[in-house]
Amino acid sequence: MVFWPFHGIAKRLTERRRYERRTEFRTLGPQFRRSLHIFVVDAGCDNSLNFTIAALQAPQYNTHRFGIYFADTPRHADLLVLLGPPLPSLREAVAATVRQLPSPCGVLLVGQEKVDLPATDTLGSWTGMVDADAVVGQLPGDPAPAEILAALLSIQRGPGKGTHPVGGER
Amino acid sequence: MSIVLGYHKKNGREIEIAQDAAEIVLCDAEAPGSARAIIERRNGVIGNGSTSGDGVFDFRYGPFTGGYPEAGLVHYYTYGERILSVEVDLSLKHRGIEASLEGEKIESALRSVSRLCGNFSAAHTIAFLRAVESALGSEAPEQTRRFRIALLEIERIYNHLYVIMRLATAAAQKVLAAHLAALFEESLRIVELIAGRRRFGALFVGGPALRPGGSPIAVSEIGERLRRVRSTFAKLFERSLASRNYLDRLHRTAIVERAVATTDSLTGPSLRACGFGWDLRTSDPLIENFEVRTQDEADAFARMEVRSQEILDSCAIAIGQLARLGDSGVADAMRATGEHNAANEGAAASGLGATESASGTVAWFVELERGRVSAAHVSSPSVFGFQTYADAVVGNIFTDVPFAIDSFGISFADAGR
Repeated sequence: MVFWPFHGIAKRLTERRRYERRTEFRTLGPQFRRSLHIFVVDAGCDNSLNFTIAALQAPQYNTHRFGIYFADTPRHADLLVLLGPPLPSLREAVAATVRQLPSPCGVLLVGQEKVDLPATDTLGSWTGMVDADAVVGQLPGDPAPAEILAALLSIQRGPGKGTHPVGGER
Repeated sequence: MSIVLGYHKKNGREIEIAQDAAEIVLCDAEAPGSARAIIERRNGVIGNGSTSGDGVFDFRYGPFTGGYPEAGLVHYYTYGERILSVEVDLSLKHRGIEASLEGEKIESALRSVSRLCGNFSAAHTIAFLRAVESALGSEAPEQTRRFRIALLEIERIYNHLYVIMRLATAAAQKVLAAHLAALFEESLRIVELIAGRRRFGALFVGGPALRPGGSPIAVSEIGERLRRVRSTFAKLFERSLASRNYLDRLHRTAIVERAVATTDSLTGPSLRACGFGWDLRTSDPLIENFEVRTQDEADAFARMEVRSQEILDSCAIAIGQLARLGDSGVADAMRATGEHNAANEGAAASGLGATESASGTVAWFVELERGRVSAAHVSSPSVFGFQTYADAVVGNIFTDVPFAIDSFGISFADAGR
């Protein structure tokens, strides 16, 4: 048997590919280009998005090479990822979490019906949890990990030339 | 001996849904037992109550924590180290799905059923369809039934991989956890290859149209990828058993007493880890040479071992069923997934359907009238899983919590309904 820590080093599980985004996302700011810490909150999803987030942390995506890290508390996060559709029973808890984010920060809405932004009064079922100004984008439906990664890269780096996310960066 | 999974009131009479080894049966409700107390409280707080005393405090874990990805609330009563009692609040994710089905057509009911719990969506959708078929007195064609078995087995593979990955992560087994995460992602890609989404339930709602370009599925490709998952996992499992750190965290953690397992209506791999060879798949004639995996120690390690062996078995079963169907059989079965004809216009009927999900028995009791659902009751394994978890973790220390809760493979979405 090969020494355990060496097992798989030659397998090269990390994929080099382009992560194409479906829609536009607001860029958080130039200071996040090399480092983005995200905190993921389940605002009432049916657990499949929790599985998607777990899959996003798999070696195939290797988010650390882009400087994307998963924080353990909202106080350490730059971006809050909310997994919906939101449930009224979790509204107060989500609002309290949003209040704990340091500034500047953003919120990404994942997995619910698309809401009309940036008009502040059309947040749909997210009303009372988050301000529309803080929302940097949304990924409605059942996005795959690659789509979420594309969104995170876009939020981190912006859509400009030369900043388009390309896989395989170290 | 049988265990109670649920109660349903019909025409003023109460009927009981129970499991006896590999059979799901309906019978008259008996005297109040421990299972009834759990079922009656499943929209609120279950567990073994609060504790007060000198230095005892309520450690409120949830709804959002860095350690547990799902929103849910658990109260641990402790004086700082040993857990004295546990209350699990299932109300946060209660969506009232059973009540919302009343008056719905089968197609729209299936949409809600498939979204009850995303990671058990095949188990819930197929159990619901079996209940509808039982009410209509019809039986799905053999190729549909074989295709469903394959879907359930693939769903079991990725759920079991997720559980073992969580255990390895909690035990700081970074190399093992990373390899398991890669396998977990690969198994979800197989789901996406078949269903066009990362949940099988979508297939029964949207039909095969969800797949990009509607291209046919190559059975040989899925078979080859499942074979790779199987051989890679077999090697990882063997290696994981060489790590003392890993084994020490799981050994003797959250032991389930045999008597508690039955009074709490525990099912699935957690029950099989207590030495009960109960598995609904044994009564399915289409699964040949099926062997139930059991362990006797009833701790987190035994549950992990049962799940590990089931991953290897499930790969073989799924490959076998898909190979029997062939490319054309899979294409036919795929086309049938989106078609649901409730042919009972007028007549009222009721039926019971069940599946062996990755974490235990999912049972649906459905009443139909004029092609619409008039009443429904679901028994989801996580309700009983959380109750057993609460009973098993008492007496353990606080650092055992992640190993205890993850080893049951339970979710708040499934329990909250």
